[in-house]
Amino acid sequence: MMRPNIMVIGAGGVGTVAVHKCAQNNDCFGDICFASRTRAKCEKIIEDVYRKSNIKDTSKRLYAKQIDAENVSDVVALIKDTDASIVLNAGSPFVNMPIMDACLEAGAAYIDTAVHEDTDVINAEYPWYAEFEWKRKNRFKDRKLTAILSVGFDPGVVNAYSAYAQKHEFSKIHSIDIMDVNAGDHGRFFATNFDPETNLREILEDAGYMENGDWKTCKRHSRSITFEFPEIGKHKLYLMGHEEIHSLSVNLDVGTIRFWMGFSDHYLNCFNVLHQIGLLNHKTVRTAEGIDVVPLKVLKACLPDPTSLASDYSGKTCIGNLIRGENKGVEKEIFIYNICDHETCFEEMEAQAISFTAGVPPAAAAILLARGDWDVKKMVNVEELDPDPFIALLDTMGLPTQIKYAEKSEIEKDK
Amino acid sequence: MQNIVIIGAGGVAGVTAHKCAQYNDVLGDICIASRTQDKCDSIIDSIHAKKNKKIPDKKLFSVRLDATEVESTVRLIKESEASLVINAGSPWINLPVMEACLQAIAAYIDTSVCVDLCSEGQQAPNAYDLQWEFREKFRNANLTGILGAGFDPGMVSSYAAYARNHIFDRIISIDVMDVNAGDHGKKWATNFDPETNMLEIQGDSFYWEQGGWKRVPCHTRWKEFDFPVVGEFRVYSMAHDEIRSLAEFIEADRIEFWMGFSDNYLKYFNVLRDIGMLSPDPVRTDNGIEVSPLKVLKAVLPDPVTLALGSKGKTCIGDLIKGKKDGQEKEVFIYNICDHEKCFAEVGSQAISYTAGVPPVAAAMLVMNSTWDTKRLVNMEELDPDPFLNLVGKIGLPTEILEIRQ
Repeated sequence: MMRPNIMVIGAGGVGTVAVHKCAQNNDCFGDICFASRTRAKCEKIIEDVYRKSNIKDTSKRLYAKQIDAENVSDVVALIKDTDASIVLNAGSPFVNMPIMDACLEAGAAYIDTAVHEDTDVINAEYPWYAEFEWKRKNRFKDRKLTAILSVGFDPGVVNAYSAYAQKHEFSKIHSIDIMDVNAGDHGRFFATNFDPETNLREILEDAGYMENGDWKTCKRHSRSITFEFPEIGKHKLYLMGHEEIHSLSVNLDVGTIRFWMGFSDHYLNCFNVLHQIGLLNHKTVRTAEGIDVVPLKVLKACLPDPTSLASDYSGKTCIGNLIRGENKGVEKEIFIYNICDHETCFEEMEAQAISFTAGVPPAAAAILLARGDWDVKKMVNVEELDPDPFIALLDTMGLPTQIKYAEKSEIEKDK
Repeated sequence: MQNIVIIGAGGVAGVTAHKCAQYNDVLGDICIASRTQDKCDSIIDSIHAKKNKKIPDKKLFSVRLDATEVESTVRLIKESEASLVINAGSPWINLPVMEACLQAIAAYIDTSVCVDLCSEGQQAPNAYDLQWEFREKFRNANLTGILGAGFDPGMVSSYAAYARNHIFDRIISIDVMDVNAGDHGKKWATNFDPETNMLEIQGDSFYWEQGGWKRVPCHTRWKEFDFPVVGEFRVYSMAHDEIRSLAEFIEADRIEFWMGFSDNYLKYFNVLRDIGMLSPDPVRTDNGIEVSPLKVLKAVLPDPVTLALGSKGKTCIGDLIKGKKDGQEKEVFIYNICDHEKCFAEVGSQAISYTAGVPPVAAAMLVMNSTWDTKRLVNMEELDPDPFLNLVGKIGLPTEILEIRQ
C-alpha cells in the first residue's frame, strides 16, 4: 500500500518534536519533508534525528527545504513538489491561514497546533476560530479534505480528554477546568517555554471563559486558584484565555469551561515589568538612530531560544482536565491528565517537555490520518473526533493518560 | 565677540539655554545646536513663553548639527562668532566637540565624562583618560576648558574643594550622595537619557580608598542616610565621573559616590538587566533587524523631558565630608535641595535637568568675566569654588552646610 508523504513546517521546538515522532513512525508515511524559513535549522534537526536513531525505516527519505510560509504560492509549489498529502503546520500561529489556503489549493490534508493569530489584534472576537479557520469549513468539505485544528496538547489532547469523558465517564458534564502547570526548572532568569512572541501575547490578553453557558472575561491574572496535582503537588493557577474553550464551548454541551495556567511570582513579576515598560508591544517604534523595530521582537531576540532550555531542564509538567458532572444520576469528578518529565524528553530527542507535549499529538494525529482512523474529509477540532484511538496511540508515543477519580477534589479559591 | 553655543537639546540643554537667556547680558547671542533642530526650536519657544530672555535684541537661534562631525562644529562656532561652547549633549560627542573648540578657538565646558562608566576600559579609574589627553593642546592654545561642570560631577566637586579650603585641615572621607525624593507619576522612567543612565547604573562600582581603587558589583554596597528636608533614603555605591577627578585633586582616605534607588526602581532595573534589555550590543530579530536592546528600551521609555510636567517633590545632592580641624574630628554635609515643581515653573524642566543644567551657565559666566579664565583644561576641583558657589547660589542652586559633628 502507498503511504502518504508528509511535510512538517516550522523548525521551532514543536516542529522538532513532530519530526522526530514522524520519523520514529515513518512506516505509516512515505517521505518526510521538513521545511522552514531557515533550511539550515531543519538540516541540523534531521542530523539529530539520525544521531538519536529516531528514524524507523531508513530507506525512506527525510529531507529539508526552505519555505516562506506566509507566501501561499510558495507553499502550494512545495506541496506539489514534495507530493505531500499531509501538511503538519508547526509554525507560528501567524501563518495558519496561508498554509491552510495552500492545502486547499494543492489538495493536501492539514494539521496544526494552535489558533490563527493576527499580529495587529489582541483580544480577538469570540469564538476565536470563527473569524479565520471555520470560514474554510465548507471548502474543506467540498474538496473532501481533512483539516484537524489545534492538535497540540492544550489545545488538542485536552479536547480529546473532554470527548473521552463525555463518551465513557459522564452522562452529563457540568464543568471542565483545563489546568496546565510546568513544575520544571530551566535554571534561567526568565524564559518562555515556547515562542516568546506567541506566549507573551496570549498571557497579555484578557481571560475569556465560559461559565454557566455565558462568555465572561476578566483581566489577566485577576482570578486564581490553588490545586493539588498528582505527583507535582500544589500549584497556584491563573484564569487565562485559551483556544480550547472556544471550540469546546461550541462542540460540547457543557456550561462551564475554563483554562488555568500556573505562573510563579517571579514569572509574573518579570512579565509585569516588561509589559508596563512597553516591551510586549507589537507596534513598531523608532530608535533615536532611526531604526524601526517591534519591541516584542527585540525582547524575543534577547530571551533564550526555548529549544535551548532543554539540556538544563529538570522536573515535570502536568496538564489535564478536572471534569465535574454526573453519571446515571450520581455526582462524579475526574482529573484526566498526563505527566511529562523534562529530562526523559531530553533523553529521547533533546527536547523539553513543553515542546514534547505539544509536538507529539500532531504527529499522532498525522498517523491516525494516514491510517484512515481520522481521515474524516472535513475540517474538525479534536473533540469532534473519536478520542479512543488517539489516546491509545499517545500512550505508546510517550504521552500516557492517567485518570484520578474523586468525590470532590480540593480547589482553593485564592480570589 | 562674546557669544555662546549650546550643543544638545535634551533636558540639561533646555535648562542651560533658559539660564543663558536669563543672563544674555553677560553671555551674548545664544545658538542652540543639536541633531534634531525641532527640539532646539521648542526650547526656544519655551524660553519666550517663560519670558526668560533678558536682553531682547540679543540673538537666540537654532541650528541642526551632527556634533560628531568636527568640521561642522568648527564652522558653526565661527559663523556664530562664539567664544564659548557649552556641551550638554550625549557623552560620546565630548571628544569631537573638544577638538572643534580647539580648532575654532572657543572655550569648552561640559557636564559629564565621555565614557559609559560600565564597559572594560571605560570604567571609573580610566574615566577621564581620553579627555585629559587634550590638556597639552588646550595649554598650548591658551584655551580654557572645564570638565564636569554639572551638579554631580560639578557642584559636588566644588563642595569638596570648598571643604578642603575652608573647613578641614585634613579630609578623611568624601561621600557624594544623590537622592531624588520626587515622584514623576510614571510606572518607571529614567531622569535623564536612558542609555547613559542605564549604562552607568549597571557597571561595577569603583571607589577610592587608601590610594587605590576598590571594585564591587553594582547595588551590592549600600547605606542609609537621613537627608536634610527629604528624610531617610537607602543609597547605593555606584561608579561616577567625580570619583576619578576628586581622587586626582582632593586628598582623602576614601572617596565614594552613592545614589538613592527605590525598591521599585531596582525591581524594574533587575528584570531588564537580567533579561538583556540593557545591553548596548546589537541583537538580531527574526525579521533580520540588527539593533541594540538598550536603544529600543530608550525608544519605549518616557522621554525624560516629558517627566517635568507633573513631577513633584525634591532632590537632595551633596557631599558628606569627614575630616579633622585643629585636631578635632568633624563631619559636615554640604548640599543643595531642589524642588521639581519650582523648576517647572521657572524653566519648564524637572530638578534633575535643572541641577545639571544651571552650573555650566555659572561656569560660563565666570569664564566670560575672566574670573575663571584659566587658559587650560581643568576639572572643577581645580578651580576656586568661592566665586562659583556664590554665583550659582544666586542663579538658582543655593548651597547649605549642615554640621553633623563638631
